[in-house]
Amino acid sequence: MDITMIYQIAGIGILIAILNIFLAQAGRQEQAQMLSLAGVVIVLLWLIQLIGRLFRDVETVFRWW
Amino acid sequence: MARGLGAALVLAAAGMIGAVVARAYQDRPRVLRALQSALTMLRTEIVYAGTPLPEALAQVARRTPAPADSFFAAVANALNSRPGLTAAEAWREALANSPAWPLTADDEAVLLDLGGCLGRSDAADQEKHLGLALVQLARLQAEAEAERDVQVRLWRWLGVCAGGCLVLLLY
Repeated sequence: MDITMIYQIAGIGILIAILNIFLAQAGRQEQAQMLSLAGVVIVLLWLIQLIGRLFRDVETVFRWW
Repeated sequence: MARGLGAALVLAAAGMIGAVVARAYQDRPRVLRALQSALTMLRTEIVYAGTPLPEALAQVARRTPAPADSFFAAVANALNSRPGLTAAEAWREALANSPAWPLTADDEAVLLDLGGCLGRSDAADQEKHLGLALVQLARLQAEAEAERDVQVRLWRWLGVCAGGCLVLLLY
């Protein structure tokens, strides 16, 4: 687990927040909402992998007994 | 190293795509304004100077700034080189293989309506049609300017931010 993943997630968050503001200003509320939804889904896909790895690690810890 | 280079390239390309789209929004009001002054010149030529249409169009083409002048030049050329061609046909042809200008279908519809009336009736009638086209173009220009203020900023940021997201996804 390196720190770049956290930077990536933070960067996606910042970029999508900026884009969201400009899309809302241009009167494209639906696209702004779709964009933030897409951002959430992308980050969740990354998180699922990480959480899966966490569960595997926990499993290996308890298999020592 | 190679990753950083690729990331910079992707970011620059996306930013440029956004800038190109923004440029089209920026150019449209300018071209519309050039068209209005060109049509005003054409009206003066027709009503007050009584110049024949091919000659008047050629003069307008000479005094109009870049993207719109090729259109008038094309109409004048067609009228000069092919006798028997009506002004409406020449106008429609020039509009069909339209010059590289950022006008929408609405703008070209106004021009197309005007083209059907040019060179067909007396000066007073043509003046009325030209006046109508000018009013419509002025309305379209106000719309285009309002749209430009919003869309230019949006598309600039859209390009850069989309490029940033792509870089982060691929990194």
